[in-house]
Amino acid sequence: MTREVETLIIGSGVAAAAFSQEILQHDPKASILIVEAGDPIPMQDFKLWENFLLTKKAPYEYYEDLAFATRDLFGADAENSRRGDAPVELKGSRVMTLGGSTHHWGGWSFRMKPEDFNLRSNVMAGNVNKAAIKDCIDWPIKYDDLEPYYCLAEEYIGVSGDSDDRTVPRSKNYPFKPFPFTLEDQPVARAMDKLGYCYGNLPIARQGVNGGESDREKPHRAPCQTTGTCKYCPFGARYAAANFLDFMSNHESYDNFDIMTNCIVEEILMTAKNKACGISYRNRLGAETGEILAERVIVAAGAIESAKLLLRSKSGDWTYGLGNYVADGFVGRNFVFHPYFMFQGTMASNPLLLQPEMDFPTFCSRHFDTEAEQAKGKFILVNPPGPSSVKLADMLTKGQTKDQINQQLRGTTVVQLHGMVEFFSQSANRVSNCLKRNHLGLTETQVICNADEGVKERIVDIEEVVGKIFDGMGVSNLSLNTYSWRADHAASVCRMGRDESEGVVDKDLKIFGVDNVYVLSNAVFPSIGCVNPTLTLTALAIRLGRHLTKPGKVRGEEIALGAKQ
Amino acid sequence: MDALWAIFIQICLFWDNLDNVHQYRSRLESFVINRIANDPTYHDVYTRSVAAIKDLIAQQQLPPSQAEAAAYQFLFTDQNLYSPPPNTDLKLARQKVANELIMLQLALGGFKAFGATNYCGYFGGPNIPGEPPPYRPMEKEAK
Amino acid sequence: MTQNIDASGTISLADQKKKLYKLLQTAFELELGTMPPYLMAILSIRPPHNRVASNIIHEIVMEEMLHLLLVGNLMTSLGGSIELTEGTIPTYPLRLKFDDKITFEDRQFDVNLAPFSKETIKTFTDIEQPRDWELLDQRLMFVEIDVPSYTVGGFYAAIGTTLKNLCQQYGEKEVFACDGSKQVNQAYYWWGRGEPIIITDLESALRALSIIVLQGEGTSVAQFEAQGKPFENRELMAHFYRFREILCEQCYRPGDDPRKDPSGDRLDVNYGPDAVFPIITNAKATDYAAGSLLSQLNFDFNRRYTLMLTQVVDALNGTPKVMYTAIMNGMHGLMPIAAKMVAMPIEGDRDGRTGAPSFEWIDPFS
Repeated sequence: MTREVETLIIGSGVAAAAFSQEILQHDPKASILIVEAGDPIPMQDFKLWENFLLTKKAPYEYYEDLAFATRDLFGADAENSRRGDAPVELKGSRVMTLGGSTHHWGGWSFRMKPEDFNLRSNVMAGNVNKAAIKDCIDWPIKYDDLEPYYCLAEEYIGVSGDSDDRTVPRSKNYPFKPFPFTLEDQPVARAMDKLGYCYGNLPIARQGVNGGESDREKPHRAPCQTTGTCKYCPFGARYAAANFLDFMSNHESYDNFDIMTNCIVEEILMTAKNKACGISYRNRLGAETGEILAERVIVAAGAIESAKLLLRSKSGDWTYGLGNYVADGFVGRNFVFHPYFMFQGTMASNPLLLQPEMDFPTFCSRHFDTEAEQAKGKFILVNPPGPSSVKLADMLTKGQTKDQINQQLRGTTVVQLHGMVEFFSQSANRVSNCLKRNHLGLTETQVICNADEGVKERIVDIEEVVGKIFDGMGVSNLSLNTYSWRADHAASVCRMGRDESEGVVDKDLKIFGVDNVYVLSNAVFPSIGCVNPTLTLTALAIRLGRHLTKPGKVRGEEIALGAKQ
Repeated sequence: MDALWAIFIQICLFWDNLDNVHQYRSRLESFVINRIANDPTYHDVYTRSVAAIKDLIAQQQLPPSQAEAAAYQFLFTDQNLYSPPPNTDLKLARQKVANELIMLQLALGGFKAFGATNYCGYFGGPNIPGEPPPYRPMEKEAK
Repeated sequence: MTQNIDASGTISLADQKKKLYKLLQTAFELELGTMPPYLMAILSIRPPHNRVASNIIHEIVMEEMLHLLLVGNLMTSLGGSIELTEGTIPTYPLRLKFDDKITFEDRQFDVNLAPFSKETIKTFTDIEQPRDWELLDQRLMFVEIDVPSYTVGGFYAAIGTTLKNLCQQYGEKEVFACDGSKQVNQAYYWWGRGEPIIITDLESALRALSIIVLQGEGTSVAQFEAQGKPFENRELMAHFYRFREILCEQCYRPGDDPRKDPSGDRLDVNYGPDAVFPIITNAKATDYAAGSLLSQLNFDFNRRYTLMLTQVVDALNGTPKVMYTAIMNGMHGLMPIAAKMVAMPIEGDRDGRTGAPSFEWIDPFS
């Protein structure tokens, strides 16, 4: 079966949704087809929400990776492969279905900071840790280039944040005011005050209330009702691309906008070295195969799948995969993510009866997310909701009486402090395709990743900092409860560069040497700092959408411009 | 439905953590309809569990006025009933019915008796600028 | 009904309030009565047709919901409560009535649960018609009425006047004796123009009534014109004009004469069989064969519908938090069932009609 469209987008996460929306706002008749390997998930389904409340099982878990094989876990219960000493985990790191990973994301919506765009230059100018960043590059665009799009991204996603917080420069206020700190934030805030560590409200993707007419502009988006079940929000108040795509499909008058699900893209088809003509695909649920012809292809399939698709897209002109000029080109390489740490301690008593009242954090510190910390690896600190020992439902269902519960609540209490640390690119760290297919019909992923000594040492520094904070809180028994290397924020595997000698795509996300294929995922980030990449990705998506709808741009002109370059 | 409502009331009585219970009846009804719609075997689960609880009450060697409370105390606290799998009707009643109703009851407001003003599963309401947030906020430090 | 007469010979506040409660109960039924027909019109549309028309009607339904909330809050503020029984939910065909026997003089027609059609939209414009609309259909004006009646606008004006008189006589504090904490506030409504008002005094009560009137059934052309350049701000367009846009297949432009047809952009409307499911009109449970899938779906729908209404009324009568369940479980849960029904042919139906929910009262656990 063959179909023809103007713009073909591979993947249906936040990048695809934001990019499509941008194009369609300028031209509601634009021809756009999104192809997605997965299925729609029922959203805001109250019975599924109740089931989630009771069982903590979200309706999209089927679309996550299975665990790596072990001695006890193999065959149909395991998939993907991993080499290297970094304990990278894929299970739970992404959701591969309509709407992508915004099904399960926490909504943390940080901007990267100006220095993050100059990682290599900044570190090379100093005397610390230069060897660790030998494979790193600067971004070919700067913070100021992206700043206006950060504002648009915050508006699009619906971010609640503190506009008076100038940790990162901004030209416009957040669309919604911040969620005030909770009582649980109090002990860590007091301790940080004494230490002189700065902190602030964590910018979070939760639709807010302004109390004005602007609330009515998006009547289909309910404000956050602080329900505390964010991973499957019954109101759709936490941005989820699936909700937005559903609205665009069913309520907007976009006559030529369509979404095709259960469509596994096998490769991008080329008619010439510099021109793609479309994709080949197969139906996930059946034997049907086909081609979709397109004037323009946007690869928005998440970092890992975007790289894997380019690697599979081999032709006479692209022997090593689309975008790879040499055998060990940049596609799939320089794999980075954020190691996520959870420190834990105990408070001797809990007189304030601190317990989780929300499901998202309100408190964060970027005190160590500065240029001074760049060489060793920046990190942020986040106060998570809820000491893990206070689980009322567990206590009651176990049969504890009211008195027993009250006593336990006031007694020894576990406290945690979480955070993420920057992980520098190394050329040898990479992702690629396996021959086998995973349970969703996509090719399995091979990850090769080694951690440099700097990352291992950095956690020691972080523990020292957390130790001081815990001392200030009166918390003892400090331990590193969890150091997760789950690849939620996988990035850099199709990185932006100044030219093909250092990257896969240019500053406008177009593959070097190809006129009409763009990569729109975390894969294009040359580096990721120490904060969640989603807001930055959304900004890039809106920027690309604007770039491709400049006034006067006509169909076919883009190819002519590419030829001139 | 009346029998399930009775379990819900007993949860409120045992933990003494929810007033004006009558206002929750319609929400329990929605919950039960949804559990069955989500998994039709729940119809059987509820039928068997209600019968098992009725038997449990009948087995109490106590005056009728005390038998119900004693039966429910056993249902809610016995450790054997708590341990999986739910391979008897009474274990089913504990693990699939009573425990789920406990979680529902907490989310409807039962948690408040333990000091918090919001809870994961409770509709706390939006954060409206200029009004107190729908959870306990950090206290302003005394000067 | 025995009335308590105080020493001065006047009827007591409590008894006067009871009269108000009756008016507000009628207002509740009036607002509720229009929602199922509007919803059925939307549900009968085959996606992706009539997208703009569908969105317009959907916005209106959400604003009717607001009116419902405002009436409920007003009732609660006065110490009354909304009654919901098998006898008080609307049944179709519906003839809008006051006091269970007197029809509104400007609503002498039946309202049906019917598919999206020109006739259906015309009925909707008739429902929402301003009281001073010059193109008034003859049938609405020259009807023999046995007893004195209200127009819908006059009905709401009567509520306002009664409130003013009571406040003058007894003072606002006595009249509005209940605090606002039991009313439904802005946390529960996020869809359209306006927001729920917590009613604590005469000013807030009159403001609530004016929203209902200006947006909906009680509006007047003169009032609309008095607001400024008509149609300059779409936010100020009453439901009547929005339905007129669908009827005329054209949008209003700033400066258009409200008494004439719109002169703006064309609005794509398709009433053809490719765009609209041929649903049964005023469906009843008995229209579906026992044991059939349509029968089962209709039963599920009605059970949820009844439960949703019960929860809405519980919310309006002092337990606002139930409104979340009513909306998220009720409203959202009903639509997929209805969508299945309208696409399903009725077995053996000679006219080739498809199903539709009957919006009938049913005990949730019968």
